[in-house]
Amino acid sequence: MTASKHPVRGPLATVARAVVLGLDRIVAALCWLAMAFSALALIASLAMVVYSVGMRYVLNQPQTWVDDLVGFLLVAIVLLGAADAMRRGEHIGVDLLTSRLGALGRRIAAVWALLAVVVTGVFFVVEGWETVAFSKMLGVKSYGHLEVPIWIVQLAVPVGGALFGLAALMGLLRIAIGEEVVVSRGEAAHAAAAVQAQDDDPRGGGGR
Amino acid sequence: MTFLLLLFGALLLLLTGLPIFAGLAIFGGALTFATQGDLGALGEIVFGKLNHYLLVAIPLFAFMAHVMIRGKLVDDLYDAAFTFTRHLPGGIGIATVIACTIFAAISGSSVATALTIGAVAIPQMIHYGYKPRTAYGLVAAGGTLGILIPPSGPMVLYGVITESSIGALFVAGMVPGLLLALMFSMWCVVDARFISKGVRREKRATLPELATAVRKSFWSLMLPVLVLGGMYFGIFTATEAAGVGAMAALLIAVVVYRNFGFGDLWHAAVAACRTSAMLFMILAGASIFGHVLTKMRIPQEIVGLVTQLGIGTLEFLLLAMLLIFILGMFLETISIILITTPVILPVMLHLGINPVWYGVLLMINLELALITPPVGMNLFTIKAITRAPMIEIVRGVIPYVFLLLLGLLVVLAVPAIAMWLPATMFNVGKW
Amino acid sequence: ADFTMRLSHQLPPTHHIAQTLDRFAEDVARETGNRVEVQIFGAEQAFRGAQNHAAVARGQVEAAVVTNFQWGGTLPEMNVMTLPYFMTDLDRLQRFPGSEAARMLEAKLLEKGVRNIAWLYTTRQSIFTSNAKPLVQTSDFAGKKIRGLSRLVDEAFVAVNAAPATMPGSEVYQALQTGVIDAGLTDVSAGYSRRFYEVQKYGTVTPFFAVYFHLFVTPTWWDRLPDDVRAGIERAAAKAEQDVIAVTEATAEQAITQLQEKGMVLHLQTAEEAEVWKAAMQPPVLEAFRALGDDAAKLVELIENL
Ligand code: NA
Ligand code: NA
Repeated sequence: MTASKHPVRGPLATVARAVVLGLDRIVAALCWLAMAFSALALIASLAMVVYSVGMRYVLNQPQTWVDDLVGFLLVAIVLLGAADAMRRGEHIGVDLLTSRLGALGRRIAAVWALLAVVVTGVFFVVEGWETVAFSKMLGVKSYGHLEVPIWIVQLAVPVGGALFGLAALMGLLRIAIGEEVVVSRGEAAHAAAAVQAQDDDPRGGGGR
Repeated sequence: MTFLLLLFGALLLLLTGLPIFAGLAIFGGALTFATQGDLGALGEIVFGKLNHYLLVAIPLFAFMAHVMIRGKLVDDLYDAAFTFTRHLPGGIGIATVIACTIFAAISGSSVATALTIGAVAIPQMIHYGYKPRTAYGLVAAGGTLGILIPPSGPMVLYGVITESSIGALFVAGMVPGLLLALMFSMWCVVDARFISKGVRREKRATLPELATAVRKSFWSLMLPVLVLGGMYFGIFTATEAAGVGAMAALLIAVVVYRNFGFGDLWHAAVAACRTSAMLFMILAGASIFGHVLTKMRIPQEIVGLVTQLGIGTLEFLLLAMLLIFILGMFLETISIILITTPVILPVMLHLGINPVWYGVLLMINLELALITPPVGMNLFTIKAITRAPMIEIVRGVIPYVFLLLLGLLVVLAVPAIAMWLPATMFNVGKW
Repeated sequence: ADFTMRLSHQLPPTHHIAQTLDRFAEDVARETGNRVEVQIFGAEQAFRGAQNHAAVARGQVEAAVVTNFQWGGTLPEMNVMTLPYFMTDLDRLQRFPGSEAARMLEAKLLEKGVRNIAWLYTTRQSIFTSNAKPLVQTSDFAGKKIRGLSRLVDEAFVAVNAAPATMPGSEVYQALQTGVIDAGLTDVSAGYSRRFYEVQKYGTVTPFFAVYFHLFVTPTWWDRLPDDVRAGIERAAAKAEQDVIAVTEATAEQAITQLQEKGMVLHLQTAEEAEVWKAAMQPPVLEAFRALGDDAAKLVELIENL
C-alpha cells in the first residue's frame, strides 16, 4: 500500500495540505494513545498471569479474577492496537497482483484498500454500538468471577473500529495531498532493515 | 457448489490487495446482509472470538519472541545450532530447522516461530550464499512446526471442540513433528548439493567450540525445558506457560545478557501488540466470514454430500484433507478448525476414526495452510520481516509444500507414527 | 417449511442433551405438520455459550439452549438449581417444569429478552475427583485447589477450606493431570466423556448440584407464530422435558459403570455422608443466594415446598 509522491500546487492546495497535516497529527496522537494503552495492557497481562501462578504456589491462593481480566484486556489490546498497526502498514494483504501494477494502478489499489478499511470501520462502529446498547439494555454481565457489565468491555469494538476507520480515512486524505500512506514503519521494519543490511545479494528480493 | 462460488468470490476480493481482515469482514458482512437483511451480530461475534483466555498465550508468545530478538537470545541459540551443523552441506539451513524445532517446543504458534527464527536466520542464510527466496521458504516452512510440536494453540482449540485429550494430542504431535524436521533437514542437504550451489560451509567444529556454543546458548535452551517441562510436570497450564516463558526470557535478557532496558521492554510490548493486532484482526474478519458460512449451513451441505456418496474411512479422510487443503489456501488455521471440526466430527465418530489421530493430520494440513498462497500467515510473517515481494516467498516455499504433503501421506498411511506414543502414555483407544 | 427455528447450543453432538435436541427437532416437524424446520447449530458453531442470550434476544437465531448457571451475574436467581444439595431430589426435579418457581424464573427470563419454552433436566449426580487421596470427609478438602464453578457455589468450597481456582473447561483435563489443581468437580457423565478417568484416580459421587439446560426463543418471533404452530412446538417441548428425565438418569448410571470399568476408584456417597457434606457446604451458599434479594428468597421457599 504505497502511493508515489504526487505534489499538488497552488495556494488552495497549500491550505488543504496544512489542514490535512494538522488533522494527521491529531489522528497520530489518538493512535499512539490507543497503542500505548495496548502495550500497557499486554505488560499488565503478563504480570498478572505470572502473579497468579506465584500466588497459587506460594500462598496456595488461586486468583479467580485473572483469567477473566486478561481475556478482556486481550480484546482491548487487539482493537485499540489495530489503528496504529494500520498507520504503519502492518495489516497484510495479498499483493500477488497489485505489486505488478504501475504507479497509478498502485495509487488506485491503495485508495481501494483504504476505502475497504473505512467500510469495515463503519461496520464495527455501527454493529459494535448496537451490541453495546443491547448488552446494556439486557443487563448482561460477564460470565465468570468478575461479573462486570459486559458492555463496558464490548465498547472496545466500536471504539477500535472508529480508530482504525479514522486512520484509514487519514490515509485517503494523505494520498489526496500526495503523501505516503504508511507513515513510519513498525517493528517489523527494524528486522527488515537488519535483513537488508546483511543482504549481500544485490539482486535479492530483500529490498523493496 | 454454493460453497465453491463463495470461496471463489472471497479469493477474487482478496486478490485486489485490500487488507485481509477488511476483505473477510466486508465479504462476510455483505453475505450476511444479502441473506438476512442486517449485519448479523457482527460486534458480538468479533468480541466473543477475541475474549478468550486461551488466546492470551499468543501475544505473550509474541512478546517472548520480540524479547528474544531484541535481547539477542535467538542469536546465541541459532549460533549454537550452526556450530553443530556448519560442516554439513546446507549446514546453515539445517541449523535453521533445528532452531525452529527448539523454538516450536517453546511456542504454541507457528507465526511466532517463523517471526523469531526468521529475523535471525534469514540474514545469516543469505550471508552464507543462499538465494533470499530459499531462506524465506525454509523459515516459513520450518516455522510451521510451531503448531505440530507441542505446545500448540490450535491443538488446544481442536481438543476443546472434540473433547479429546489435549495431553494426548500434544504427545501425538511430537514424533510427526520431529519427522518433518528431519525431512526438512534432509531437503537442505539435497538442496545444497544440487540446487543452491556455492553455499559456504565451515570447518567441522572442535569439541571446545561445541562446548562454548552450548554454554553461550544455555539460557535459551533452558526456555523449552521450562515451558514444556513446566507443563508436563504440572507447574502451570498452557496459557500460564506462555506467561512464565515470556517472563523468563525477560529476566534472562535483563539479568544474564544485561542488554535490555525499559525502552526495549516498551518496544517489545508495542511490537507484540502490533503483531497480535494484525493476526487477531484477521481472526475477527475470518470469524465474520465463518459465521455466515455456518448460518448458510455450508458445512452441513458438504458433510451431507460426503455421507450421501457412502464413502469409507480412507476416502473420507482423503476428501476431508483435500477440503482442508483448499480451505487452507484462503483461511487461517483457527477459522478452519472452528468451521470444519464440528461438522466433520460426527462423520469421524461414525466411521470410527480416532480424533487424536485426525487432530495430528489436521495440524499437518494446517501447516500447509500457513504456507499456501494467497492467505498463508507464515508467508505474511516473512513478508512482514523482509518486505520481500510475495511472489519470491511463494516460490521459496514450493518444495516444502510437497514435503509437507509427503509427511501428511506418511502419517495417514502409518498411523502409528502419531499414535504409538499417546497410546502407550494415555488410554486413547484404537486408531 | 413455513418457519425456520435456528437453534444454537454449545454441546458436542454425542452429549445426551444434544441428542435430545435432535429428537426435539424431529418432534417439532411432526407436531407442526412440517411447517417448522428446526436447524440445529451445535458445538458453538454459531455462537459461544455465553453469547446465546444476546443472539436470541436480538433475533440472530430464533432459539438457544444454555445451562441455568451460565446466567451468572446477569440473572443470579437462575443459580437456584445449582445450590449445593438443594434441588437434587428426583421428585423435586420432576415437579419443577410448570411449577410456580419455574414460572417465576420464566418471567425473569422474559425481562431479559428471551421466552423460555423448556426445562431440560441434565444432571443431579456430581463427582468430586482427585488423585492423591479420595475426598471422603469434608476435612479432606482442606488446602486443596479445586476447579471453581461459579462465584456463588465457590462459597461452598471456601467453607470446607478448599481454594477454588478458575480455568477454561478445556484446560481442566491437563490441570488435573499435572496437578495444577488437586480436585475437579463435574457431573458424572461429563467425567466420563471428558476422560477425567485418564488423569484422576479417585471419584466421590454425590448429589451436590442439579443442572438444567433450558430452551428459550426470541419473544417477537414466538408471538408472530400462528397459534397452532406454537401449540405444536409446545407439545414437542413438553415431550422433551419429560423424555429427558429418564435419559439423564440412565446416562448417569451408565457413566458410573463406565468410570469404574476404566479403573477409577469411585466412592458412592450414602445419604448420611451426603447430609454431613450438605451441613458443611450448603448454608453459606444458601445465605449468599438469599441475600440477592426478595425474589431469590421467595424462590428458595417455593422450591423447598415443591
Ligand atoms: Na509448539
Ligand atoms: Na494458505
